[in-house]
Amino acid sequence: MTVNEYNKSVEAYSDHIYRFILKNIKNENTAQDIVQDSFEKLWINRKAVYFTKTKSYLFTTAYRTMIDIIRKQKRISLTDDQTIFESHEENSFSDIQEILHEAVEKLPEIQRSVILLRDYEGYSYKEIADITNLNESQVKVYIYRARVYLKNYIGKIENLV
Amino acid sequence: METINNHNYEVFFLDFLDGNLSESEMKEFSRFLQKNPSLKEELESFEEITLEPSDIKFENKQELIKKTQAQHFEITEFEYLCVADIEKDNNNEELKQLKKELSVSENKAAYTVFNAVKLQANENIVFSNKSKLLKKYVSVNFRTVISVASAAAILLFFVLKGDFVNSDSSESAGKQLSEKVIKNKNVKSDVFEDTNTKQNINPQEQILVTHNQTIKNSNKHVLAFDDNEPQNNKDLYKELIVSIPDIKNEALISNTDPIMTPENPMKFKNFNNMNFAINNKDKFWKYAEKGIHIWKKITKDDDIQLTNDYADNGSVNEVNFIASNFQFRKTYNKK
Repeated sequence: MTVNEYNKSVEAYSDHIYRFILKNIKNENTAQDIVQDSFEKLWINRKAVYFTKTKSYLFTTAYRTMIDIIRKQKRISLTDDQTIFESHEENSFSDIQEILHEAVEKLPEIQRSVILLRDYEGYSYKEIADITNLNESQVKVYIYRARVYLKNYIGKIENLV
Repeated sequence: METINNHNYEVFFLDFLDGNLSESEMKEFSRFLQKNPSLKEELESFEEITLEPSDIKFENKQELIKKTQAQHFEITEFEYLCVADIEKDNNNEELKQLKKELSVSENKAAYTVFNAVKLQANENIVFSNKSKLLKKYVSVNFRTVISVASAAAILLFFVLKGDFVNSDSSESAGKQLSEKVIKNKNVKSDVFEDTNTKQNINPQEQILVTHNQTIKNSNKHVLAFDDNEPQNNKDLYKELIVSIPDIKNEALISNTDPIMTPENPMKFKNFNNMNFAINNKDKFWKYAEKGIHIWKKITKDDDIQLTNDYADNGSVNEVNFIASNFQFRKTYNKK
């Protein structure tokens, strides 16, 4: 990868990675640190990374760095058995995305990551599996469960204005 | 079937207990028991010996049961079909099943909600420190680098190939060569002096000794570079890198009479102060110009050029080297 290609990667992917990390950990400073760390790793390994694989490399690096930080901080459990269902059937929301993102924050960590990679970046099960170090079946299960959770969180169609 | 008697009654007993006796056999079996009350008691004791079925259960039964997709995902069948529809994972059979499910109005409403469950990234969230990540770089034109490097290589080649030795070393080398050649030919070292004396040449004047013409036209001179020189002398000549043709050419520039005779060899008033029209600097640029010309012919690269401006006496007034964006200009003599 050339310097020019590296800089193109910064312009093209830094926002995407930042959003993905920020949605997961809700801490701007940590999210910024993770983005910088990921690009620093990309720069160090630029000779071994093809430009076409840059995005995947950055997301993988950022995700794993984030997981390491989370584990260290022990703020969020990585298992999905702490799902607490909270229905908002009684509420109505003016913005579907607003409530969806509220619901995403309540998803178990792993489900949140895979659904964000799926919807934000349009990654396939295989690509998400590579980034998150899961197998494809696990990824699919987490995405399906997450969607059902989000659907149930929204509740009835009448809640959507 | 044989008739029941005291020897085979046990077989009849077992068939009776298993319910395998026919109607006629049952009648005969009853008559036999009435005639033998002791055996009837034995049969009754047989009937008491029965095994009750155990209530032992296979506990891992659940592991053998195959789950449906929905059960595997821990969601309902309908939920699975809805999500699979969003993810475009449904096969034809599942699509038909979903269509069937959607005929129920309640399911249709739920399906609409499912379709709304698609996250969209907030474009307003941007990474503000992007400039810190960008790396500065110098734009390098690869073609320019190649051109300059090639030109430099060619220049270096011609410089090393040419006889860019200073006058002192040239003289020294020539003298060294002459002495060795004379030694090899067993010629007296005073031959030059004799010749000069006989021709009444001023001691200040010296004869420029060159090969070919002068050699062949004069038997008075000891000529270092005859065509018939032994091979070892020629090798020595190569070893010392003395460029005879160049010396000859330089001499001819100053020679007013191009026809040389034994009586009229090429002469210079003062060899030491010989006024060469072309010096090393001029030769360098001349060779460089040739080198660039050859390079352009080979590569058809018009981005590189070296234009020299010469004075009437052959010396370089100005050189101008251009390779793409790189330019070098040197002025030696202003016009």
